[in-house]
Amino acid sequence: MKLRYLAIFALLVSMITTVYAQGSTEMPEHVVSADWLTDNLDNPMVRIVEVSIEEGAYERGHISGAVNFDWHTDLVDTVRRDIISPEGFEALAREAGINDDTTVVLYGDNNNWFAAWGAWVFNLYGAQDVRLLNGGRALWEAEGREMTTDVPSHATGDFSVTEVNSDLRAFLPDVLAIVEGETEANLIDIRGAAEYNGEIFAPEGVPELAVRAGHIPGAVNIPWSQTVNEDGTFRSLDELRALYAAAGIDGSQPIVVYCRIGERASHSWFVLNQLLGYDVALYDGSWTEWGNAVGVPIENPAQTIWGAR
Amino acid sequence: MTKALVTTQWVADHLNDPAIRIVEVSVETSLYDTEHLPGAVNFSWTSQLQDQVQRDIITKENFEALLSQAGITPDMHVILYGDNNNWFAAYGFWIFQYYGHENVSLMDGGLKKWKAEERPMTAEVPVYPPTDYRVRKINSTYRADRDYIKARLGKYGFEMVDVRSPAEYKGEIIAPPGMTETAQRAGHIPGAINIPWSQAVAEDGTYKPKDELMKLYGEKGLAGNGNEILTYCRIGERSSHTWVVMKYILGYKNVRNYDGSWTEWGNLIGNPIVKGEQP
Repeated sequence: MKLRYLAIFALLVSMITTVYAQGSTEMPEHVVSADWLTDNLDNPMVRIVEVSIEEGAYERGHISGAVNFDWHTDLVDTVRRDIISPEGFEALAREAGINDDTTVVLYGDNNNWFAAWGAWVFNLYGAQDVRLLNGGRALWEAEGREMTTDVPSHATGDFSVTEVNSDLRAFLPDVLAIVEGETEANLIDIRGAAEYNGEIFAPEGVPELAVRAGHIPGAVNIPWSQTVNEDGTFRSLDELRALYAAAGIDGSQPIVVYCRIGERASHSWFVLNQLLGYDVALYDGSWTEWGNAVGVPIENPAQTIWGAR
Repeated sequence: MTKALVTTQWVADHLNDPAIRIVEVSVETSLYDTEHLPGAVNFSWTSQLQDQVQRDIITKENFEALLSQAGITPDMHVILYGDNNNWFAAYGFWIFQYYGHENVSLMDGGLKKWKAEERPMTAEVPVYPPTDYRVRKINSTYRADRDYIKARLGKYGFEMVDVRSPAEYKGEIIAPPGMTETAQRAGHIPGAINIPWSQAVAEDGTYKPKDELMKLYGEKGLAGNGNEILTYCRIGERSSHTWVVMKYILGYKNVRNYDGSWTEWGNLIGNPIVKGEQP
C-alpha cells in the first residue's frame, strides 16, 4: 500500500515539475498579454476592470468595455481602515456585470500596483478566474492600443461571495507570531531599500504615515521593482524563482509580504502566489500599521528618529 | 502627596534647593541649548523619553540610566517644564508617574510664563554627580493599550476624552496643519467625547482654576463618579496634558493615558472609528 502511494506521489511530483519547467518561459493563465486582451475585448465571458490611482486616468481614456474601480472608495472601507466588506464587494462586482463564471482581467496605472490589490481582493473573496494585464496601463498606452472614453453599462451580474480565502490575508497578530518565532514563515519587505533600512519613512512625495522608520524584524528586502522588466511586464518565471531563491525563499514555507500601505506588496503577492504558486499572505496593514503600533518590535538600521531635528 | 503643580514663583524660590531637580522637556528639544532655567537638565522626548527603536515609552532600564545621569534620586522632588504649554513636560510628568516617581511637579505655565515674567535664564549646563537610580514600582494603571480599549468599547462606565481639535475629532483633517499626517484614517474612537486640551488652560498658559475645570468636564459628563476615563490625542502628548487635569487637579481616581493615540488607532486594520460630531 505504502509503495503504491509513494509511486503516485512520485508521479505527481514529476508532473508538477514538468508543468513548471514548461511554464517557465510562458506566463501562467493568471497573466494575459495585450494581444490576448485585444482578441477578447468583445468576449462576453471577460470583464475588464481598471484600478488606477492617478485621478482622472480612467476618464481620460480606458480599454474598451472596462469598468472603473476606485481603490480609495470602492475596494476599501471608507471609514475604518479595512478592505471592502464581503457584502460591499459582492454588490460592486454585480454592478460591474460580473458573474460567478466571469473571467476578470484587471489593469491599472503605476505598474499595476492597485490592479494587483484588486486581484488580491477578488481572490480573497473567492472569484474563480482573475487575471492581470501584463504591463498594465502603461504598456497598453505605449503600444498605442485603442482607448475609449465611453463608459460601458453592463447588465447586473450574479457574482456572490460564498467563501473568503482568509489564508491570503495576514493580520498584526499573525505577523507578531512570525517575529516571535511561534510561526514558521518568510517575511518579505518589498519597499525600497531606503525605507527598509529606516533612512526614510515613506518614498518621496508620499505622506509619512508612520512614527517609526525601519522594518519588521526578520524580514528580507526584495523590492517589488525587481520582479518586472523595463516595460513593466513580469520577468520570466525562472528569473522570478531565482530572485526569491537567492534570498532563501523557495516556497517551502508560508510567506508574508508587506510594504507601506499594502498596495506594492499586492504586486509581489501576485508574483509569488499567482505566478510561482507559493503559499503567500498579504499583510495589508503593512508598515503604516506596524510602525505605529505600540510595543511591537522593529529593526531600524539607520536609526532615524521621528520628530527629532 | 506632592502637589502636581508648582508656581513659577515657587520654582524661583527653590532654584538653589539641593532637594529639587529641574528638568526641561520641550517639543523643540534644542531650545535648551540656547537658554534654560538655572540648574535645569534637558530630556529629549524624541530620543530619551521614548524607546529609540520600537514605538514605546522609554524602558525601565533606560529611565533608570537617564535619571542616574541627571543625578536624580528616588526621593528628589523633580520639577518639569517646557515650551508649547508644557505638552511634552506633561508627557514627561506622565512617564515619571508611570515609573513610580511620584515626587514630581509641573511648573504651571511652563517656559512661556517664566519668560513672560522675565525670570532668570542661563546657557550654563549643570553637572551633577551621577546616582544609581532604581525604579521602585510601576503604575501600570496609568497607561492604556489598544487591547485594553477594544475590550471596553461601548461598556458602561468607560469614558474617553479626545483632546485634539474639533477638526481632527470630526475627521475633517488627519493632523494639525503643518504636522505629518500619521494616520490613514481620520475621525475618532467610537464613544469618545471631544474636549480640546486648550480649554483647560488660561491665557497665560497656566491651568484654569479647579472649579472652572470641574464645570468644563462635568458639563460634558465627566464627573469622575468612579468611571474609568481614558485620554488620547494624536501621539500621546497633548493627552498627557489633560491626564494631569483629570487625575491631579480634579482628583479622578481611574484615569489612563493612551499613548498609542490616533496614530496607532487610526492605522489599525479593522478598528472601529467614527467620523463627525457624534461620539
